[in-house]
Amino acid sequence: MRFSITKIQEDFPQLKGGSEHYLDSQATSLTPRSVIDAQDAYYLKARANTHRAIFKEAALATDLYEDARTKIANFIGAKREEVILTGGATESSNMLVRMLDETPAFWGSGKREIVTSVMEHHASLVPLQQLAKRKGCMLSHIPLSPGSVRLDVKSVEGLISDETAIVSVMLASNVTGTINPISEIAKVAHRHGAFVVVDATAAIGHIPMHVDDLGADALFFSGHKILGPTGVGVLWVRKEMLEKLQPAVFGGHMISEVTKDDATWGDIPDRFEPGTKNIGGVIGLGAAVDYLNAVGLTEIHRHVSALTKSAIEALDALPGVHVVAERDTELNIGDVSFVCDFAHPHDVAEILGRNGVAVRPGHHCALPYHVELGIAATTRVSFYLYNDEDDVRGLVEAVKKVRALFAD
Amino acid sequence: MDSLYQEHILDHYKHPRNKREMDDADVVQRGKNVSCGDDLTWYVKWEEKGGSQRVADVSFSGYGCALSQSGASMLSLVLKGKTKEEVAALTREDMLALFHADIGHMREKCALLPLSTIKELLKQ
Repeated sequence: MRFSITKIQEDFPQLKGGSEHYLDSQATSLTPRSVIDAQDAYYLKARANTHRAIFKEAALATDLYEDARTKIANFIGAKREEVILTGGATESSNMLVRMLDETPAFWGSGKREIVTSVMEHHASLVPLQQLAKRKGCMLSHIPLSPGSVRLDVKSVEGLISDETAIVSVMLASNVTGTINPISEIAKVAHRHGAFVVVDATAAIGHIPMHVDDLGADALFFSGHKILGPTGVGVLWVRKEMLEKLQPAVFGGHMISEVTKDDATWGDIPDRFEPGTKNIGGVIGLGAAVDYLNAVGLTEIHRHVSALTKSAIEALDALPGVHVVAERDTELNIGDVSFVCDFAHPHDVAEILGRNGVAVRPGHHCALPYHVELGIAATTRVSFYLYNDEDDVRGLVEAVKKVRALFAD
Repeated sequence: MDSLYQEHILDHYKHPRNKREMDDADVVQRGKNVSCGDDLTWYVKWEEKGGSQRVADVSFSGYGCALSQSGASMLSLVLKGKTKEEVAALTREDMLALFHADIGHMREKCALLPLSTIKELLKQ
């Protein structure tokens, strides 16, 4: 399919009637009609619980749910039985940490170090902090290169050692958009026998991505940032490892046998999917993956990179505005954060919002990164496939209005 | 253009009253909204008057959005001369009324930071 911005914009109903310039896709993306339709189809025609029941709606629901799993697996280059469907990236991250925690064999070698980065989202960082406390692990952080928004990848050699059990780094920053060289970091980690976790939440759906190319052992993301419904997420773990991990959440569907006093676990991935999942949401995520594949991730990245470049250049040209973003837009997933000398990020976002420009102020759940960058908060603009140059113009005009309002 | 950013709010933000650190304050209290980066410190000097403790002098320092900072400036004018009991009796509605604007749910924390911080100060 040729990349047609007009056609894409027609596919997103909220572009008509919502904010004139939706620039908050890194918080959550808009939803195309096809995803809404796929989710509706479940509620209108296939509403039944998945697995086991054999009446026709139940069979249809199970087929739709499992088809979505296959689509998601193909989307990231994984095997379908490696894909665990969750409620979101935060649930995936917490579940993975608990699964590792509850698996004695994982800690049998006595390794007690965890390496992450200063760039991480709290959804990845905070569960690791808690794990480190429970296990008595040392938690260390890949720092930034001085004066840069990027990680100092050279420092990895010194941080990762034979004592390192887990290396957990995000694929791209949700603040500056910087894409990290995960495969390089993973190579070092694997040389020391460490388990590599990748938080792909900000990056997925913005750049082509394959778990093997990354060298990941586990990876997670949310569905709602890639055109899918809210309340759906994915946890992927490489099969050889997943088969060894203990489940962290228990209940129906995940068991093989249950007696009064004990239980044994079912096959993967069922073992990690207790209870009734967000069936309609998973089916919607499958449709979102179809949509992204049809447009093409390479084309999406090219389109978003061009807008990112325009926005950085336009904001740079405004006196008193300082861009905090990855400036090599090939290596930026589409996020441009900035600070203004003349107004606080909250006021900037408020006035932009009142002028039809939807952006987000704050620390974007990455407080340590902001501390490292020496700023309390930023205003973040994030682009996706349905944005265009008119959104950049709208942004710039609105920032000029903020300056006019706050100027003495 | 923006009813939230009326002239008196912008005036208090750009030209804050009583914004200074106070070296000889009796009590100092810092309050923060971590999620947006608002940071506010109150300085109060008490005096005995008519059998009760009153605010003899008050000032603030800090940085943050127009609501938290203009709110502190406006509240500082209200606080002068008030007894401890009167400060304690100040309500959320009293604070929001200073803005003469409809403060949405999203910005309430910013607008209320000056009040919540002065209430913390009273606990000292």
